[in-house]
Parts: sequence; C-alpha cells; structure tokens
Amino acid sequence: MDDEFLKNYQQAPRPEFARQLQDKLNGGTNMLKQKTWRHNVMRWSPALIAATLVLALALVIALPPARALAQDFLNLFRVKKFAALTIDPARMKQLDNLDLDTEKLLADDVEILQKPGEPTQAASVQEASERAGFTVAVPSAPSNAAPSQILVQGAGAFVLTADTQKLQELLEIAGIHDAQVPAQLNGAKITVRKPAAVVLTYKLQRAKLTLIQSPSPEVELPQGVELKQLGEIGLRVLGLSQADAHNFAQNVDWSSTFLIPIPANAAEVRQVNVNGAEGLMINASATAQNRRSPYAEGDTLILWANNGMVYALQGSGAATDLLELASSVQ
Amino acid sequence: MSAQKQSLRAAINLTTTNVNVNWNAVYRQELPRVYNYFRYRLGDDALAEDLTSATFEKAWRAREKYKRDLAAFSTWLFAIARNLATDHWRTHRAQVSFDALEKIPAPDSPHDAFARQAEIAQLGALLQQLNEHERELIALKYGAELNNREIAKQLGMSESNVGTTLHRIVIKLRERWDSTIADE
Repeated sequence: MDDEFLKNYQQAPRPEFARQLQDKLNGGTNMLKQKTWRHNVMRWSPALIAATLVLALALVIALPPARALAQDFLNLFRVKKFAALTIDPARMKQLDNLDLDTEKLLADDVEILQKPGEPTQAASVQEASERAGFTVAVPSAPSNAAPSQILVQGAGAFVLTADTQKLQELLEIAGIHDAQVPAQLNGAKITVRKPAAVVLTYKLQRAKLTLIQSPSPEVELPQGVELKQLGEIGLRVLGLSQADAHNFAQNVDWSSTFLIPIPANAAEVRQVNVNGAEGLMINASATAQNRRSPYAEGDTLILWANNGMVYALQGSGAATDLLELASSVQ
Repeated sequence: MSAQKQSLRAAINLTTTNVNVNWNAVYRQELPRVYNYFRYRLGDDALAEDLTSATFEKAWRAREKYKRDLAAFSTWLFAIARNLATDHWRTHRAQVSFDALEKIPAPDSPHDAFARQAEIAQLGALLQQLNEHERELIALKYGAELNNREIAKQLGMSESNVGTTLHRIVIKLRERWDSTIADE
C-alpha cells in the first residue's frame, strides 16, 4: 500500500508553540504546587509538622545508612520556635520537576508504630481536652463565639530507618554533587512522635478562623546523628550554596527550631511576638509581585510555640486582628 | 520494540524502589503526535495548537497516576485528544467545510517551500472529503502514528477491521491524489 503521500501532511509543531506550552505545563505544575504549599501551610497542623519534618529530614534522613547504631536516643528534637527559610522559587521549580515520589521512595524504610486515625468531632472543648490529653486553649477575643467545629486528631508515631545510599542518590538527582552523606548514619533509626492535636474552627461575621494546637512533636535520633550535619545537607537541597548552608547551619538551634521553607515569591513572612513567645506570621497574600504590608487583609498564618505546645492560627481577616487573637489564646 | 516505545522507556529512570519519569521527555515525545493527530483530524493548524494545548493541560494534571505505565498514559492522552476532536467536530462541523481548498496556493510557484505548502494544502483538502470515521482512522494512523492494534483499542474495533478499512481509505485517497496531480 503506497501511503507515503499521506505522511507528507505531517508537520512539526512550531517551536514557539512547543516552548510556550511546555512553559505553561511546567508553570501550571508550579502554580499547582504553590497552591498545595499554601493550602498545606494554611491548613498547617502539628500532624503536618511531623510529616514535614520527616520530609525535611527525609531528604536528610533517608540519607543515612547501614549500620544500626546504638538504640539509646540521645538527641531529641522538640519544637520551641519557628523560623522561615526563604528559598529561590526557581529551585523549588527544579525540585518540582524532579517528580520525586518521596512517600513511595521511603515506603520501605518507614515502620508505623501508631496510626493517628481519622480526626473525629468533639461536642465541647472539655471533651476535646479529655480525649486529647491536654487542656485545650481557646482564644478569648471572639468572646461570644463558640467553635463551630471541634476536631480531635489522635497521636501517631513511626520509625524511619536511614539509608545512606538512597539519600546519596537523592542528592545526586537533586543536582547536589559535592555533599557527602555521612556513611556512619546508615541504618540509623529516627523516631517521630506526633501527639494528639485539636482543631477549633470559628465562623465569624467577616472571617473564618482555625486554631490548631498540640504538644510539640518529637523526633528522636540515635547517638551519633548530627542534626546540624543533616540540616546542612537539607539546606543544600533547598538551594543554598555550600557556604551559605554551612553558615546558616551553624547559627540554627537544630534541636528546637522548626524551619519552614517558603518560596520567595509566595508569601511575606515576619517574626511576631505572641504573648512573649517568638512566632512567625506568614501572609500569603503579600507576594513579591503584589507587595503589601504584612498587616494587610489576606490569608494569614501565625505559628508559635509555648510551654511545650505548638499553635497555628489561620484566618482570612486583617493580620493585626489575627495577631491579637493569637495573643489571647490561653 | 518500536522506536516510540524505546523512547518512552528511555524517559523512565527505573530504580529498585522508585520510578522517576522525565515528563519533559514524554512531552517532547508525545507533542508532535498529538498535534499531528489534530491536524489530520481537523485540518487547521491554529485549531490543532489550541486542542493540543487543551489535551496536554488536561492530561498533565493527573499524569502521576501513569508514571508506572507510560503506555497507558499515551493511550489516555489520545483518548482525551479524541474526545476534544469529536466535541469540536460536532460543534463546528457546519463551519469546517473546505477552507483548506481556499488555502491552496498557485501550483506553479517556483519555490520548493511554496510547492510543499501547496502539497500540504491539497492533502488537507482531500482529508476534508472523508467522513468523520474515515478521518479519525487516518488521523490516528498518520497523525498520531499509532499501529493498527493501538487504533483498534482506541476505537473498539478489531485489528483486522482497522487494517481493512484503512487500506480502503488509503486506496481511495491515493486515487484522488493521483487525479489531482494529473490535473495539474
């Protein structure tokens, strides 16, 4: 069958069209991820802290390697303060484009000790306190408002066994060729414990508020695992240069600071004081392209830790009002 | 193994614990096929670009589901493309008359590029004379470059029926093509 003449109708797509569509697809992915990031941050919960910690440590932690170390956990991470780490959106895009399925990648290395289960509703703050095992704090500012919903999320725990070779491969995939995962970390077991959490939702006239609270999650690391060393590698993955990562790592208290990576163009971040505790205010509406005061109205998240508890207050009203509400939580 | 499948395989980096897909490579592989499917199917370059964009945007949102089976992704991609083409054809068939005929440049152009353009336009005009089913078969075969088995899967036909029908259509087009050339 002579069908060559039909093949002559084929034509390559215009390079300009091909490039624009590819940019659109990559940009769309990026936008989707940014939306996911924003959604996650805005829906932040202590559970997410643990999960994010694992992801953050995962890049770091999964790295670790093959020899079971002493099982007595001498290093303990507890959240005492939050700090923002501004990262280059281009680097985030690069990481996005890697299409790494971290969950799947680590599936063989994670042992679930306790499943948190699905969040369940509580009829009152008192019931939530009893079920969660701590006294639930409430904001006093919406004085007459009762929470429209109270959810209790059970505690969870898992152990991650570090795999140096896997982490080294991850680093290579991420384009980090000059960082070496410490071989002695292979087989190290990192235990993450996420205590129960309570989520209070308030529906006010002009805004919706969500307050999440939980005792600090804990990460137990075996003797010999240097958080600073792991943190430095994690910073490299996030795009910091070797020198910057080293300097930054030297100045962070890795045993108590929870780092939140934020793309430079996605939000404005500032440190705030919440009842004497150092907190972080993230205003997702104040982008680099639309730079406004962090006190402008928009989606705002305030994170702080106090007396062994971590709190996240998210709302869509004026940021100043939200800060006032956060300060009233007791 | 076909070159296409080899190329798709090359886009996947298999490790013992994970499957990493170079989606940019998949994009480069599939873009000309989807674009040409629409050109053969609808005969309009600008429209082909629009519908190609729509196809990829739709497919890209859920591509992760197919990371372990890129062949299924390709099948799914063309299922989306076919739906978009069918929707467009049903909505706009009154307007798709024979626009391509009007684009046929004068055949006596001295320039090769112009001659090539004329040939493409003439082929486009011939494709316009096919009914929807015939055009779909041609678009999947010569635009998307699917083999008969893949076309059969897309259209719910038997592989032999696809082969027979395609043969008949090509013979018909060949006769018309030769006739067009002879008239010139």
